[in-house]
Amino acid sequence: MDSTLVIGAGLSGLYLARELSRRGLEVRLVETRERAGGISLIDPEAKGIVERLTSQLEVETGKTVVRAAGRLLILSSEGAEEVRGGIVATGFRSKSAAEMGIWGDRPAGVFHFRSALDLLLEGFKIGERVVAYGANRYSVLLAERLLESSREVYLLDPALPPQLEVPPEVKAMRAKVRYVKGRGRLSKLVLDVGELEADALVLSSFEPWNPFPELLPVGHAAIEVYEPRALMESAEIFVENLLCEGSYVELSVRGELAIFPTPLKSCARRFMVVMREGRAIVNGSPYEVRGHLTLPLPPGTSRVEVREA
Amino acid sequence: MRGPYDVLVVGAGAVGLSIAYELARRGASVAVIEKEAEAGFGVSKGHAGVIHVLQLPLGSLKSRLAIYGNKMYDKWAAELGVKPWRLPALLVASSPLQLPLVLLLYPFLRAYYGRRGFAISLVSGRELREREPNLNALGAIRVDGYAVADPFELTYRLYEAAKEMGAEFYFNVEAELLEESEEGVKVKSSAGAFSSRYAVNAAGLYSDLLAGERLKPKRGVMVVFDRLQAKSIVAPISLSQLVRAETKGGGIIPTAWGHTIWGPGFSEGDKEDTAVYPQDVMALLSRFGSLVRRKGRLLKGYAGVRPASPARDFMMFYSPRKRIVHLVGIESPGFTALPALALMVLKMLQRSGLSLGAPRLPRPPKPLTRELLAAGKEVRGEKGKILCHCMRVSVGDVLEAMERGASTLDGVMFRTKLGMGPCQGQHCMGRAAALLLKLRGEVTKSGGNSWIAR
Ligand SMILES: Cc1cc2nc3c(=O)[nH]c(=O)nc-3n(C[C@H](O)[C@H](O)[C@H](O)COP(=O)(O)OP(=O)(O)OC[C@H]3O[C@@H](n4cnc5c(N)ncnc54)[C@H](O)[C@@H]3O)c2cc1C
Repeated sequence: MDSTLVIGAGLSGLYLARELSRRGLEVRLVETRERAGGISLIDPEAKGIVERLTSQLEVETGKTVVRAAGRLLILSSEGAEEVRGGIVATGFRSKSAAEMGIWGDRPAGVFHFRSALDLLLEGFKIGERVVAYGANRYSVLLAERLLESSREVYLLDPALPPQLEVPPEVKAMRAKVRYVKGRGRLSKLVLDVGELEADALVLSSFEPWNPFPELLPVGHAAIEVYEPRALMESAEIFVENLLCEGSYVELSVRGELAIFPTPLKSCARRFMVVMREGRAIVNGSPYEVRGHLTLPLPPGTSRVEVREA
Repeated sequence: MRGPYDVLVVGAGAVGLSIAYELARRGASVAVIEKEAEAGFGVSKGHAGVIHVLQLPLGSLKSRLAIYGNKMYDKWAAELGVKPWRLPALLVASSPLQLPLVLLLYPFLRAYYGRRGFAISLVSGRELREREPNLNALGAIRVDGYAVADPFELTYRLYEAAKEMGAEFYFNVEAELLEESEEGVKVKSSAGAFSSRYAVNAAGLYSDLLAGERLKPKRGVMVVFDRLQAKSIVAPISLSQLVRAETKGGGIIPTAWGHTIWGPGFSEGDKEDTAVYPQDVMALLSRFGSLVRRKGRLLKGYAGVRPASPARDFMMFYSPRKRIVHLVGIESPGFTALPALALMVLKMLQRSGLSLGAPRLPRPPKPLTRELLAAGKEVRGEKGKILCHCMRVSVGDVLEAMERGASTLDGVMFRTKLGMGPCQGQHCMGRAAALLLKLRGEVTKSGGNSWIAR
């Protein structure tokens, strides 16, 4: 039997691979970087489980899936192999400066979250006065980590979520970044509420992104959640849905929320409603959602209707 | 004092590089001095890559050189291993009110373009929907003979070929003064003096300072989307096309690597100001927004400054003793004019007494991993590991780029397209910077104080 390919060995990919192999499937787990863990490498709550899973599973590091001439290939030091199927666990993308409405000069010192993290994990310093733009669990963790190497660390967001716990050494501010200034290295940010001297800006506003849409996504490639428990749970639900036999459930989604997994089968026992914060009406019943909500899928359900209240 | 060289070229932009390449391949000893850390970091890094047909006003030097350059391009670029993508330009009417303009302008444009060998035709709404289903347009004038090329690829191939032919390059060196005598030229620079028999001032935005002229720079902002929106260069039709080239607000420009550029816009500028302002972006979005159905994701904006002369034409002239050729005001269509412009400079130097041999051909370039994959080949070993999955750039490609002269992260990006795909470098910039830091102990974005990490 062909093995199932999991692309990306962050917490979601690792946990998914474990779930699949627990159910007797043969799994291959490939990772482009030289170590497993992905964004969860800075997450103290995920560290233990990432280490345990990494030691239990065989992670093929230094292997990257790419699209070339219409095919998907795994490229590595051993050459190229064609990909026939697989599950995408390649994580979030951070929105670009242009998408966040930041214009101005194009100096050095503006980083996407993952690039900043890669440099930090290699032991390099990315700046003295660093601004993480986009407040969420990961940017807070990054800010804490930055405190070790940088003199000042700011966390900026146009709508700073009140429930987010930010350590007092990190200067959290409600602000919108409009321009970056700097010839050579970044020197200043122009905000809606004034100016801020800074020599590094880390773009930390995330969005799920599946670079290979012909394959099903899991974890941050599919949904915007921030808790490691939510990622692990989503991987479990994904596997239940993948492996059971049943007809597809008709889905109707309206508003700023998402259902996971899609396509959903009637045999899946649960599903997730993902939403930043607010009220969702699911098949007529109202629910409070903060991040995500896992709901049972009663046997025989043929249609799920979700909308923002 | 360094030298004497046959020719000293000031400026390693597309223009200086073309001239250095054409001279060196004909046996001249050439030195190029460049104030930036690498070749192509001036105007030549921020343009739109369009090979134009002609430029209004007709009869201007820039129009004549663009026409010759256009016709020479394919063969000239092929010798360097670069293949421009030939495609038509469409001047489109997107509302019923604009349709009469198509008929009104057509006879004039047919006279302009047709007479100079560029095919021109009317395109009906139905034909347009077939060719460009992603556009909201009712009719168009089609002009054939345009092309787009990857500006970086061409710039770096020129640099490599010039070096291969023996041209010497001095980076981070600024020319301060060009002094000519009966015997030749002495160039005072930030790194001491150079002597040569002849000199070419191809200093782009700063050539006016060395030539005693004064430029009136014009800024142009472009935005980039992550998908191909059309198979033609597209611009809204307007009456101004009778008097000005279509550069005023630019166009919708497909790129050879599957992106789309909107622009360049046009505004008064300052030589040093390559910032992108929100109003520039808004202007482009409102100009083209309703023309395109599926746009894709907005990746970035960038700005270039055109080294425009007050008369808005290229200026190519001798110094009093004809030892120096000054090039001032080489704005758009400078990239189009390259092959013709370089030969014209060679002629001017020959008329001043420089003798040249027959041209040699450069070696073909080494293919990138992306190109090998497209040809069904693979790369093994540590060098085959991929850093940028969107643009399929390997560790080997990065090392090769450095081997070929990249000393900065921008230099690596421009040569390999690392980080230029839909994910804009999320998964590769940090790792590539770390790789360079480990190999060289430091890494900058583009030289100077543009350090990335320490
Ligand atoms: C927004 C924009 C869009 C454009 N689009 C197109 C297009 O689509 N098609 C087209 O044909 N053309 C286009 N152009 C025009 C084209 O980009 C230029 O004509 C061309 O790049 C000019 O090349 P250059 O070598 O003269 O200038 P540069 O690339 O600026 O080269 C000059 C070099 O000289 C160096 N230098 C300056 N002073 C000194 C000194 N004192 N000592 C040493 N070195 C020095 C600079 O650092 C620079 O590298 C566009 C231009 C702009 C600005």
